[in-house]
Amino acid sequence: MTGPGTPRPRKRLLIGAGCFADARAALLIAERLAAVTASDLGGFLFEDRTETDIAAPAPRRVVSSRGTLLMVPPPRQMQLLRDSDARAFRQMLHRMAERAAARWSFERRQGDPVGELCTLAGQWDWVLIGHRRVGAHRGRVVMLAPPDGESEDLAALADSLAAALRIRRVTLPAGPDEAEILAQVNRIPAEVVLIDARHGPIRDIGQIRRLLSAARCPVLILGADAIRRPIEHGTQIPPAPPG
Amino acid sequence: MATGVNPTNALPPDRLRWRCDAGGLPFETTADLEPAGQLIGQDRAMDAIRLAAGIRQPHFNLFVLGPSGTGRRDAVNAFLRDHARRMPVPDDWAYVNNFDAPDKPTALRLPPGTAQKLRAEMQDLVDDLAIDIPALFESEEYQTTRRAIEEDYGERQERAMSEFAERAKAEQVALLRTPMGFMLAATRNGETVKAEDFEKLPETERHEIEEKIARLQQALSEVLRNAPKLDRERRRKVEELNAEMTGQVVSDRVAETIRAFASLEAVRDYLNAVRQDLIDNAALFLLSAQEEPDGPFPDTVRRADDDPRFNRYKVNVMVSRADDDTDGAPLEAEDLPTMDRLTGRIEHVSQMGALLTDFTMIKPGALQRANGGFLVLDARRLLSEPMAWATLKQCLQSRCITISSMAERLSLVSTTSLQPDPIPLNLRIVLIGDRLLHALLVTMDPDFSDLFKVEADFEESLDLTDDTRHDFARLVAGRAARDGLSPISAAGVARILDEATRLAGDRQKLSLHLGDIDDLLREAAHHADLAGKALIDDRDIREAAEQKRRRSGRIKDRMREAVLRRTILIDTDGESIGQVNGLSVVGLGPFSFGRPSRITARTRMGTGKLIDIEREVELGGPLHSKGVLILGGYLAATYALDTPFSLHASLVFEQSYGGVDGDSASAAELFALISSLSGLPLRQGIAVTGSVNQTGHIQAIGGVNDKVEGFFETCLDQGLTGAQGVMIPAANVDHLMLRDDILEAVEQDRFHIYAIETIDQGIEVLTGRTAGQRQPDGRFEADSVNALVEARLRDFAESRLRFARMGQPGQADP
Repeated sequence: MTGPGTPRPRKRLLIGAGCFADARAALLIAERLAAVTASDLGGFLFEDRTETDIAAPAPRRVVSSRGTLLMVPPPRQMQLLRDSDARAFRQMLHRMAERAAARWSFERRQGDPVGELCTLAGQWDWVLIGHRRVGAHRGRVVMLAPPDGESEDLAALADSLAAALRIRRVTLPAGPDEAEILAQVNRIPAEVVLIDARHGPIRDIGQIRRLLSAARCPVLILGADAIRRPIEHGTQIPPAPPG
Repeated sequence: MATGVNPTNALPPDRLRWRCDAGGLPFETTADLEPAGQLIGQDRAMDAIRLAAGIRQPHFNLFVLGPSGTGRRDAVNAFLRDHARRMPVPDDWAYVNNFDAPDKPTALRLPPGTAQKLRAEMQDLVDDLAIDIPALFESEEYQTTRRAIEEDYGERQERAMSEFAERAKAEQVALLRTPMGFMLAATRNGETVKAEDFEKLPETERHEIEEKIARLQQALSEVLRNAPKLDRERRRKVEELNAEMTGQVVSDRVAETIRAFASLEAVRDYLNAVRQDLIDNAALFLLSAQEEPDGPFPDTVRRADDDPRFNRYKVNVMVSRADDDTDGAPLEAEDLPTMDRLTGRIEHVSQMGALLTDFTMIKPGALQRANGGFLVLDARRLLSEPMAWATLKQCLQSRCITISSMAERLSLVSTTSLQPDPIPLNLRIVLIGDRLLHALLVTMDPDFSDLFKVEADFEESLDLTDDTRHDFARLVAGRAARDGLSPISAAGVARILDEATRLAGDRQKLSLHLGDIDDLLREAAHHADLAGKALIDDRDIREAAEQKRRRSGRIKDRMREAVLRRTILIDTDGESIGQVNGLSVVGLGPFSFGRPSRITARTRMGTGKLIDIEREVELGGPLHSKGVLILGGYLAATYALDTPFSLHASLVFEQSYGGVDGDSASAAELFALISSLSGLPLRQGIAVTGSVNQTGHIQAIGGVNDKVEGFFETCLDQGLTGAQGVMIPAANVDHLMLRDDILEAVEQDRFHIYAIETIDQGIEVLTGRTAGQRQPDGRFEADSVNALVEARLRDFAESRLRFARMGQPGQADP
């Protein structure tokens, strides 16, 4: 994904999701990255058990990806589904790493995927957060341009991905208003959204979570070590000054 | 005659064989002759072959019958090859895919030479499209158009989801993702409301939230349900785009091919079907292009038509000939006429344990190859192959070639199979077989006569005339030249004619077993080569004939030895009552020889019963038994006209441990019976052969030369006395072609051949006494053989009467 003769920097890619349906969309993007640039692949399946303790009318229902209304299965069956998701995630990651001759690891944890991934992100170069896509149409590679000018790495990666996926790249210019950015993302059929956490405009966990909801596709974060994390109120360490 | 035998029955030496006079042949060597063609004396058979070859009506198939070695196969092949050359070159046939029903491949009839061109053209077509179609899909024009479709439908989908997301957000509802799908949850200040908090809310608010979530679930359900519909529309649009784009490329390329075969409607129809299928399956070319080139050759020289994906566009040529073929119609032979090799077969390949096939695995058989011409088959081999005859008949009856496998017909396997279009059949089958097979087929198979209307019956011999002798010499010259042998001298040809006459077993005939003549010639040529001669002469021919007989004569020699050492008792001197030397022939394939057998008869008073001991122990065949029963009829009608036939007689072939069949010993058996009844001894130096009828006439038998020679050799071993000889039926005199040494013995009065027509003539030779005619008083001449026999039979009858009276009450022996 770089020019011929240019030595490719090997990157460590963390892929995370809350279920296999989300992970699969991310893995399909990750495969393109793994083939050329990834030396390490880390897979994390985070189990966010909110469906059991959120407010919802009884009987609790879910809407399947085909639009069918289904009863939320009992906890035991949910556990079986999660186990199955974990196996599928691990297997797909394993095969992908084999094809790319990359090292790989897989872990299963409990917690909010976005929050936990951002916490782990400091140890990885790139973080790819999974989100299932609705429909089989092909979207676009959406790049959020940093407000301080276009990140060369980000642009190059977006171009390479677009070429590999044979789809168009769309660059959304940085604006002062996050809501405006998210509204644009919300309307674009995206295959993957690329951001650079070091350069913005999306920098913290909350923004990433909102971006993921708006994009409804995997989000690839460069400069993941720069993601700002919320400080627990219980600690006495003051938050870092902005900038 | 030293023996005092009636000389009128003894044959002079010149009647014992015919000898070709080399001086009468109008050439010095065969090099002076114009070689003859394949055959002579087979006009009837050749006319039949000519009819079968020339007539255009169906079912005038040919059965060539006759013994092997008559040159029938070579003659048929030579004639048909020449005839076929003048016939038109038949059309090509090929199987192509039936795109509507792949299990029923389509047969294409094409002008000669076109099938190969079509196959090559289709290969080029696929190769070209394998480059053009991927290039088309790589083009910016295509990618842009497709991207536009994708984005259009993507935006429609996203718009719906986006609107739903905004609506949910506005109504403070969050969209959560679970392994099973999407879940909706109420939010407050951006956080999902926990169940325990929800319970603390006022009831009206709880109802509002529940109602809101239920409503949004329905809305989300509708959005998501609509997604597959949009996907289907999108896919259809993309397919239409693909079809439109590839349609142009494919149509342009296929049009080139259609132009090349513009005059052939069937090919045009097929190519139009190919065009539609190529457009529908353009993705195959993309899949093929995506595969990495395997092997040392670069991608540019990879032939796409080798890819099994494109087998559907192949042309499977069943039979093809060059349009300038100078051989004309085909003349084919199938040496192993199995069902598969006749009609063709459908092969299968094993994939994942299943047997699969397609139209490219149809293989042609002899019928396809010979279609439009001639197919020569060996009848015996054909009939011995399972289902081959039935299949051939079915093809001839339906006049088309239907391919099916034996396993399929017997329901032995259950797998994917094909029903290819039958190919119309227009050919002449030539079956070559023996007469027995022909007779069996005519008798047992009602279809045979309908399907094989012409029979070419090859003669086994030819009348010996000056003309045929000359023709035969030319034939010999031709065959020697064909085999690259040295020329043959006139004396050598005369010797061959002698052998041909002997082979025919008739001095007025020449054998047409040309295979035997060829073998004799080749072996004689070998002897001539060894002697360094440039010419094959009569000595080489004789040497070859004698060596052949010697090679085959081991068993004959051992039997002679057994007689010489008295292991087998044969007397060739002296006289004996009720005992005579009969003659039989032992056949070992093409070699046969004669040998004497002692036949004895014993008689006594009885009730008219004649016991054939051979039959009683089941060593006698039906013809032999028939001959013995005839004897009873002769005796009763000749000697017991007015008295009860009160004889009990037994007859046996002494030291016979194999079977005996044929009636050629019936005369000898009758002589033994007459001797036993008359009490007159028979001369043991004279052997007898011939069958007898109820009136006492001697009838012709087979193998007369072998029989005479067999007894001569026995006499030779035991010493020629001048009183020895063989008695043969007068009807067999023309069949005599005896060896030189016998001729010499007869010329020197040391051996004799007697030709008899009646029993009376024979008994006179054997007893030296008059047989005796019945006088006006009803009695035979006094002291004649017949008078003695009649007197003995009358004695038996009277004795029997006496015994009968003794058995009744009140009767006493006088």
